[in-house]
Amino acid sequence: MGAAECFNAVLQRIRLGSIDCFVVCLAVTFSSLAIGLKHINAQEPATTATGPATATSSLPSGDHSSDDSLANRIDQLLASEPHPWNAAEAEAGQLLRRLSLDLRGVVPTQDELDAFVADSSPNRWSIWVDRFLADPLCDEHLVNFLDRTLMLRRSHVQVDRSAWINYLREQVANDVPLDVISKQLLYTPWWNLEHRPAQRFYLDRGGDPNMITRDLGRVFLGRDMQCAQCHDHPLVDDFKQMDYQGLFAFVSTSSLTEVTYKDTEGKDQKTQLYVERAAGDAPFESVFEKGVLYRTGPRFIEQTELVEEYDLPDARYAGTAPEGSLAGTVLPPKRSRRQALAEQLASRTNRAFVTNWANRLWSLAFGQGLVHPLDMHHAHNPASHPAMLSLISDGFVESDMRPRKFLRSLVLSEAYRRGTVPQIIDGIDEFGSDTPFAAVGQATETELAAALAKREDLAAVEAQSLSAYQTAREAWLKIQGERASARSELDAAEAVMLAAKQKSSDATQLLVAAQKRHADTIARTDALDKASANLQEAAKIAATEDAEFQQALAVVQQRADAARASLPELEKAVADTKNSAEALGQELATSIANIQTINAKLQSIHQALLAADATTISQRQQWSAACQALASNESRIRRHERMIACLQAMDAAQRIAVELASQVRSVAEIEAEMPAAEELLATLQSQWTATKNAEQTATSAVVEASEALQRQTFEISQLQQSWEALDHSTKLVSTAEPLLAAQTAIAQELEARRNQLAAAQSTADTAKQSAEIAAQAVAARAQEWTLQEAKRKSIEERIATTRATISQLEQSLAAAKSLAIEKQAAVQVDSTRQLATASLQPLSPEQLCWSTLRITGVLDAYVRNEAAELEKQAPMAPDADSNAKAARHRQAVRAAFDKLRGIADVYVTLYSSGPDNTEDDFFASADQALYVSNAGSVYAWAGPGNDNVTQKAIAITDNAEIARLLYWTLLARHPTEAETQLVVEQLIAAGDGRSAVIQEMVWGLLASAEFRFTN
Amino acid sequence: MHAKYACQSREHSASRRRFLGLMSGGIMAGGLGCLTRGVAAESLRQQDMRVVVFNMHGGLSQLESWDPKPGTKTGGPTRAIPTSVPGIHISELLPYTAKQMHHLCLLRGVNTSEDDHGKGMYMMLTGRRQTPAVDYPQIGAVAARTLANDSTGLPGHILVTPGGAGGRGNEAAYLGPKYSSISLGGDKPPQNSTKPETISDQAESRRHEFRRRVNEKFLSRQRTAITDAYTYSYEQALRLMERRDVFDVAKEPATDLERYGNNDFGRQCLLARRLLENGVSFVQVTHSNYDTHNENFNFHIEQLGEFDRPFACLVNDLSERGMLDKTLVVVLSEFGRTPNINLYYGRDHWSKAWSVVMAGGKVARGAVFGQTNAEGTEVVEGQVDHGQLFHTYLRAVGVDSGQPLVVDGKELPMADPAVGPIWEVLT
Repeated sequence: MGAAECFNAVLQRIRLGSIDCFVVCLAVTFSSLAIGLKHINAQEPATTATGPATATSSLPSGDHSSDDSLANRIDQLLASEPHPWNAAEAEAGQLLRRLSLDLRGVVPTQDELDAFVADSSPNRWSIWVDRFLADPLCDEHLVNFLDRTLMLRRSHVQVDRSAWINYLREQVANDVPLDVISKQLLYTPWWNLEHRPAQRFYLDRGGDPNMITRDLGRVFLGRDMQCAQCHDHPLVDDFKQMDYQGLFAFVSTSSLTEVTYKDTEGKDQKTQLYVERAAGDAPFESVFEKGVLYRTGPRFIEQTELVEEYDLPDARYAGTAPEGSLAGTVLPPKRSRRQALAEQLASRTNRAFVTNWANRLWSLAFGQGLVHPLDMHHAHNPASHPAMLSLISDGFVESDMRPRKFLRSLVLSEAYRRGTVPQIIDGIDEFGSDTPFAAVGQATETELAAALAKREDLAAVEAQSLSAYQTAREAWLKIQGERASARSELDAAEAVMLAAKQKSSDATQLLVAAQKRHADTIARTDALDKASANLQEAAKIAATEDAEFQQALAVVQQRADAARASLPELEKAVADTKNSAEALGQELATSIANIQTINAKLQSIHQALLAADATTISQRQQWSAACQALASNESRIRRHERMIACLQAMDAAQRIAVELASQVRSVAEIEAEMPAAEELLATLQSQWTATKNAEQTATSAVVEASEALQRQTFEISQLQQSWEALDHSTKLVSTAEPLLAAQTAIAQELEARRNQLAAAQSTADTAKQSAEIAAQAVAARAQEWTLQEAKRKSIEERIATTRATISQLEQSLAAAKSLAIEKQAAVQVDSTRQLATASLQPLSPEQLCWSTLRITGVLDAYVRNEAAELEKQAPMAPDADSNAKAARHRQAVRAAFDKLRGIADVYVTLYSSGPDNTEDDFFASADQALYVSNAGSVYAWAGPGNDNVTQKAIAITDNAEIARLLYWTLLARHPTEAETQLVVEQLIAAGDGRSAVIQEMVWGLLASAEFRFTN
Repeated sequence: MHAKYACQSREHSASRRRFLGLMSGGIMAGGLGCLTRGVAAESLRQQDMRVVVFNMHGGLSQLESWDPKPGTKTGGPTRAIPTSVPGIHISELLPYTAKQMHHLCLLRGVNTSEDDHGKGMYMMLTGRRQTPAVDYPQIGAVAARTLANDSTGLPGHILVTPGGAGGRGNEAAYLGPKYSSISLGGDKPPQNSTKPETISDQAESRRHEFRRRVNEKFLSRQRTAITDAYTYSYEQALRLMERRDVFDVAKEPATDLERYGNNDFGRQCLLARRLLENGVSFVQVTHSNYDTHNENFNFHIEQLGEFDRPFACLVNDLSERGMLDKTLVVVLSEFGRTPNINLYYGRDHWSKAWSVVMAGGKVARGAVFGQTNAEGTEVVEGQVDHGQLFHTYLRAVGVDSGQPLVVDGKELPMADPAVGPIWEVLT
């Protein structure tokens, strides 16, 4: 296999890492976190490149530099690898809301918010952290955390709820380390009722060994190994059936058993005890490899099998019942595997155990685990921040595994206080700024290149270590096979021994019986002989020959003889049974010797097995580390690719935004040219109109002149005709004197007219000329106008074009922005995983419930009532110290929680993922909304009363002030102007119905998305 | 060391990758938009496929219903009658249903090897055997997940039980409570689906409008798929309140009620029709009780007498209204009943050879698949089990049951990967 193929194969495995196949096996594999992490650290030098916009967040001096070493180390670690997407510290109100929800499971009150903001002490943050940690609400929150984590919301069957809650309360109140609690849960004497609550882990899982095995893995080791119950994980190499079966072996011989006992009143009571029987490991096979049997004793993942001393099968139980045993229970085994489980699983040296709890508490504070999901610790799902996981695991042990102390360190870190918006994108909604995304991108590209360069090497290392691991495992499996057959032999030998023992004991009983019969017969003979002698003596004394007397004597003697006669037979019987017993005793001894021989062989196989196992484990750890390094590198590559894509998208958006701005500017410039152009055009127009008028005048003069000319020409032609007609007549008529006179007159007239015509002709010519001139002027003007109109049109066109460009750019910008925002969302997921930003998290069902009850004053009212009740029952001494007062307050809080738990149950039913889930996956459904809207309770709580926010708001007259109060109390932030306006509008429209409207608004805020989430 | 199991076949992994590709696309888009689903799922949803399951609680006798054996040692007094499909005979106790046989597909070779009520029902509804450590989602939850259209405002998974209106059930297992059932008793609407009387209509719209406007401002700053889902759930709730009538069977014509037989089961069948017509993707109607260890024959006369007409009416109506192509009808039990008739004229639990009926969707019409021997003591042909049936139900409504479901980033098989659908009954 070439390097590339090899690499692809590895990638394939990684991709398939979370895929499950056969059952709902959640893909879980084992890994050595300790060694794996060191390895990764070596592989991943601290990132050095940071962009110009990645200045570390500056925190208000009052909240800076914690005195907590772990908190400081967390921040130092993050500072050594600053993320370009770091967010600045969240706003004060949001921060306190976050802290309160994480430490106490409720939102802060208005008074607390006000006091926090007003607090100017230099160590304000740690003061408030400590204040919240000391609050009895914190106890209830941690109790809820333990309850959910340990019991996965399973129902109460064997152990009463209040007993369980009170047990957890005591642990939390006494700050009991988590390893100690875990040990108690995993082992306490089961033969009486003294430790009942702690046994709930087993009891309310019905004692089912498979369910318990799965939950041991999920709850205590962060590994859901369900899918390896019946076969090795088909897709993830580091998840083996042997691991499951090894854990299973700790509890496989325990089960619930009903016991009847007498209570204090002497009445018969029945109960189920989780009884442990002596270990006997059943062989198992893979459903994929039918017929190949395996064996394992108890073992933890990545640890060699537990070496147990061998006891003969008849010597595995305690001789007598332990003190305090319930009558009717069976004897406990001499060696308890459950005890071994408790001691070794819940040990501070068990890294998987420590890391699991550290990760869970981290998740409680940060909203998600460094390894997520919380029960998916395996090589293909490495921690988002491996070095951090290692650091906090160490830190948790340093904190003595006390949750409160550890949580304190976590929330004192700067990392905890980050806001949700990365500084680099803070306030760049419009992308108009000149943020150098490209420059940041370059640094990221460099890192990506580095990660890509490592890829093949890491893949090769992984492939190599995988093959070494496989080789080691094959060798180990081979010895496993030998062990399985030796174990089968031992099983057979044990069966033979138990049979021999039975026979031997039967034979011994026969011998004893024979001996007894023999001895009895001798005694009888003796007694009869004695009686016979006495009778004879008596006869002598009585000196009688009484027949009856003789008869009696004969009978006695006869009986004595008969008894004597049977003695040899009885002696033989004794000898026979003795021989038989001795032979069977020998057989038993032989069977025991056989067991010992086999056991000796087995022990030597065990030794070889342990050695091979140790090698396999070490190879597995190396492989796992290599696998994690590869997976981490891959996730680093993907992360950087996403970041680059995002930066590119933002850069693109920014470039479009810049271009858009320039186009907007140029359109303005062009538009500025327009008025002058239009003015000129108007002038030209009016000039054109004037010349057009002149032309018209000239044209009409031409028309007039030519009409006159035509008229005259016509008249002349008429006269001419008349003259010609006369001329013709005169020639015919001799006496035509009068005619001649007329003709002469016409000729004269004609002459005159001809002269006039010449003048008209000249007038017409003149008019024509001026008309032509006027026409030329019009043409010139028209040309001028046309030119100017073209200019105006071109301006218009430029405006239109630019506007079109702008609209195009706007569209591109919108697209680029939405792409950038989408990419940002992806990067923000990464940046949250990399602890650079905080993310939006839904409140847990309990947080939602108790926060609602607290905001509406219901919870505090209950606490006050309970306190009053306690005071009535046992008044506090007037000089009671603060401890006594605190204890009383705690008692009242507990009682209030107990009374209100039914409401929390409703929320759990509606909002939780239900039983048997490690975490509550967020979902929203109509029935939740129907409950909040219509069940009436939430709306009723939102009504005025108990000095709650509604009541306070009703008393305020300033509408803006009401807006401030509502937003501050319910959402821990001040309203924006628009939000204030919204509230004010509602109040103004309300008129007389202000109270009702305020109640509706409180309800509306409780039902809002913002209340449902925290960040 | 890598085992080459079926699920790693080239084909399978290719389609899985394709699926993953779709999902990741969805997730990217989901950053801002609503909860995006795969394109395939979306198109499926548009087809409005639906499922109605009749749960014959207690164990219906196959010999008194779908696979009568008249005149044999095991047949009892029950006779067979011809149906609308020549050659197919069913029990005389189902005269109306017999007339609808041309829509039905009888599976007479069911063998589930589980004679316990609880375990048998679990297997029939989840398609798997019960295990102590893992719980599997029921068919209703899988149907709701793959078929339900959020925009209807109605729950995707409804149980109609004689018991009475309850809240949310717990059948969805790892699919999450969103797909758990809402149970309706008779014709009662879901819990909390009317506004409190103390709130006036005006106040009701005002408070919701305020809530919306508060959200608008928040969502303009911090908007993700989950915040969208949350705000959307309130709109869904309001829509459900508006559509409350959907749960009111009295809104159906009186003549229909008459036709369905004016009794509880008839009303439930009519309600089922109403719900399906209004876009509910899964309805389960329970008919109790068939656990006839005593007096099997009398009980079946009575029970099936109640079942026959409304069931036949529903099948007929679905067909007449053009809905049968898009609606799968299933009649199932936890098991059948023994061929052997016990001393009390009863039949006991029997899972080796019994019958399930399907109709609609992509299921073959007027068909019989599988056969038992003359006395009904053994399957001689076409043997199927609960796992295959489960695959078949999903296939019948166009869902590729071989695809995984992605839950919280984890891929989980939709149905038992060890078996597949009964292709012979699918068209």
